[in-house]
Amino acid sequence: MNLRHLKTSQGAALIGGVAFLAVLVWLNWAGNALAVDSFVAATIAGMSIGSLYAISATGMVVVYATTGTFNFAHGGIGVFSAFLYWEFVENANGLRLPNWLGLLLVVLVVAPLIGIVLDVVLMRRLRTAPMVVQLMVTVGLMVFMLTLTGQIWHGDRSRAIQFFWRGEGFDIGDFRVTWHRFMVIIVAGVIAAILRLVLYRTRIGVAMRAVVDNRELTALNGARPGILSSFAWALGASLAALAGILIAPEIKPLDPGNLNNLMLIPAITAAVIGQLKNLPMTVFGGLLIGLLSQHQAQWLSFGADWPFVRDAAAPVLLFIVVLALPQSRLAVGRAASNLRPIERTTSWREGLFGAVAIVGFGIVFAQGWLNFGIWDPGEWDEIALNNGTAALVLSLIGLSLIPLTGWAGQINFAPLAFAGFGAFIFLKLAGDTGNMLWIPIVGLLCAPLGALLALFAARLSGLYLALLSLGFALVMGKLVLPHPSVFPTIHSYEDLAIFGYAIDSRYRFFTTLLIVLAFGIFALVLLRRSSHGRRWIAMQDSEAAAATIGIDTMITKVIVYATSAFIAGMAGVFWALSKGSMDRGRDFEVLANFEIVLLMAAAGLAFPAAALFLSFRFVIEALGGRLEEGDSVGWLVWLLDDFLAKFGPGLLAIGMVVNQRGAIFETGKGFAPILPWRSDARAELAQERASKRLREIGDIGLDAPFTNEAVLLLDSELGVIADVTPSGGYTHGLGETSS
Amino acid sequence: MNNVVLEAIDIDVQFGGLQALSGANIEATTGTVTGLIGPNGAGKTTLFNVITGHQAPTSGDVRLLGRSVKRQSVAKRAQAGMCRTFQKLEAFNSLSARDNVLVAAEASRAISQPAKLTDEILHRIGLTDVAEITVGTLPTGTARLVELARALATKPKVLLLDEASSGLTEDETAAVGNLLQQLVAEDDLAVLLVEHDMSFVMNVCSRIHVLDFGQIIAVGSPAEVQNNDAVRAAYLGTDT
Repeated sequence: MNLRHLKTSQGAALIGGVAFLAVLVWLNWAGNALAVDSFVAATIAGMSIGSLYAISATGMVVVYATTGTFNFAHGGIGVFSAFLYWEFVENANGLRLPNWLGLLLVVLVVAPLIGIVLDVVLMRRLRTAPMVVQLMVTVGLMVFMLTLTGQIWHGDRSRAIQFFWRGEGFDIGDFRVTWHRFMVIIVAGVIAAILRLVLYRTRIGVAMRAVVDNRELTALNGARPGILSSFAWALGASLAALAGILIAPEIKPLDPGNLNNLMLIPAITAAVIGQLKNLPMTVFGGLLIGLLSQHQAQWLSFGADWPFVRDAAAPVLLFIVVLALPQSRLAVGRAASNLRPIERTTSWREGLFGAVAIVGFGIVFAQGWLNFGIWDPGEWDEIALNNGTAALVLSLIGLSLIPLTGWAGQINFAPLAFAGFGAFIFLKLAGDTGNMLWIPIVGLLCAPLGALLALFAARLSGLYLALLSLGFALVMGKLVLPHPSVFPTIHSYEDLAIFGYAIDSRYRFFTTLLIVLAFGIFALVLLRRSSHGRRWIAMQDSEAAAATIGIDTMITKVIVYATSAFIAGMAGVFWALSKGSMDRGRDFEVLANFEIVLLMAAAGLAFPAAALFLSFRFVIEALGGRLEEGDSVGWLVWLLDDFLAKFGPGLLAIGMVVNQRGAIFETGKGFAPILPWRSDARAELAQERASKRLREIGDIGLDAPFTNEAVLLLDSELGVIADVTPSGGYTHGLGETSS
Repeated sequence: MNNVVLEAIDIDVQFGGLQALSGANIEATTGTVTGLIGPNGAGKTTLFNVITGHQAPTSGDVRLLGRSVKRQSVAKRAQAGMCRTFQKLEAFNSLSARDNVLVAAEASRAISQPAKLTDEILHRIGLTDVAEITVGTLPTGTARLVELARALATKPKVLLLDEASSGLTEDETAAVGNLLQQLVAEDDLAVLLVEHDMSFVMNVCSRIHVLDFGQIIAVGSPAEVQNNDAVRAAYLGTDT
């Protein structure tokens, strides 16, 4: 870490972060005696937990260094492997293999296979994809693997993995150190040393690093890039599996989500401390996080009512290090992070029509008029309205991502942070009156939070920006929002009312949301057509060029972040109202953020209509629920309820590998020529067909004779003007006549 | 009418052990198209980067209309009247040609009617036919014109063009050359361009600076520069 080159902003972040932590420590000192033995105990525990983080982080860094992909699914692979290990070793009805055999089988056979399959099927196509797509696909893969694990090993049963050597150990003074924990520390050190050796001192290691830098050049020098990248993924998957199996005994009962959090977040933080390339620093980072969390548990005591604060060490550290450390240079040759589909801007009339259509369809949906003869319309109410309300709230939150990520290109994994903040402000200002006129004011008060994030984020782009937003989501979701003074344990929201008209029935609330969403989509269409929309898109297309025409990118970013927070804050109000009160323990889960972003991205973040995509999940669940109550076809229910609803987000995001511009873009492109007022789409289609015809003609003069039609086509493609002679024939640019 | 708009004074740039520029001086005057030429690696783009603010010089000053802009950011200098195009085409590819120009007009605080100015510029450059087409789908030559139109929409005092003819056919290059000469004659504009296309430079520029190994080795009219021994040696090498 070269401290001399720190910029002032980085120095400020570092000092600010340390000061914040110092204040936090001073405020929450538990007053325990500073005895040597409790210090030693915390340190040893910290080192072993930290070693687990280090092993996981090392795997992530190795994958990044050798494939150029930041694999969010690293934790997912580890979780799946841990459950598989449980299946082989611990399951009373299973194989009951000895634990060393199970470990070897999973880590050295199954995990590498998973890695290779992932590389061949998925990861190879991501090499040239924009960063946003790469992130979405790996996050989608993570969600998919977690869901798969949860489906194969149902959560209704409690599982646990035993520590190796059954928890036996040795004593240091008064403290027992288990062999398992001791071995973990050794293993972490050994792995880091071996990897460092392999990557820097062996031919295959150097070749792996070369492939990331310049694949073609490496191939020209005799290496086989395909084999090298598969090997890298196999190695990464093995490391993930090892980390997962070693960490799993710490979590009782074994649960995919909890294990993933423990594997992923500290690993990301440690990897960032290692600047995504420095293995020793990565190990140090892991140990640091472990030590911090154990010592914090020992010396600080927070109010019992502040859930997750103990998990907050890694997130806060992540936030600080992303800001303070210089970014590692991204792999050379990575394509631009631009995900802009080249689309025609929606006209305001189309936007208005869309808005009205949304309200119309929503009402039809709520009334259950579309019952396909399967169920009784009267019974539709509860399911439809509940699911529909949840869908609309999610769509409103999703709207906030469109200007920020879709237009301005600022990757953001923290929409729920803003929404939660909005819910909090509304509770303080109007929770007991429910006056709807407060909602825009809540939005305005949330905007500064967005501006604050913008100030942090201004220097960053691509992966580091995504990680910063993740850190922000975690800090808000684990530290700020669950604090007892934000949402008191007992609190509730009064029903909305506007000018005396009370919105106190499910149906009224649903209709209100519908109108708000329709208005929101229309407003976004107008925003896209405004000077702000143009400026944000210009900034994403070329930040350099934007600066040279006088656009202050810092101010522009502050404005777009503030706008996003404004929208999300207002959506948060409706979110809180739809639930009646906020659940501090569950609502701000970081995974929930991912699902919103994934679905929006798969739909196409540049399009206001993408917000509707978020509703589809609930529509599907509603249909599934209705079919189930109506005793309808079993497989149909399963398809809707289990498969689509649960696996949908993950699979859709993975599908972005081929569908990089979003489903709406692809669908729209197909539909546009049919619409009567889209003559430009028909012209474009005709032009594409003409080009295709030209290609179909083949090698002119070789495959087929040199026909007049071919010549005409060639001339038009070349822009050569053919003169028409009086006899009705024509002269080619080449000077020959034909008739 | 012929005022010195832009001056770069005694610019030194050092990258580690490499002296990219030493004591480089250049100026741009209204009514003139000034050229900056030199062999590959001479430091032309570095000098441009120092002038526009993309690169901080080790020493030296940059003055716009007599006032030093050394401490100002790229965007601030653009607001003050300095606009630059890039070697690699940096148009806003997902916006239409019209929107490209409109964004620039809207970004400038001094322009009261951006839409009107946009239409005027599009007409002047001859882009009205392709105004609604997304720039990413336009051929390079047209896209370069859009970039030029976008630069003009900031109502600059000095226009810096980095290899504006790169990717253009002979006809297109000639058209750009004529356009530039028209612009400096009609508006209160100075143009400074970096170029490799020698015929373009000799035809369009009235004053040329030659850069070699980070130093200005010749300044003068096209004829003077063509007959200069040092310039010949730099490009063609010396007799052994």
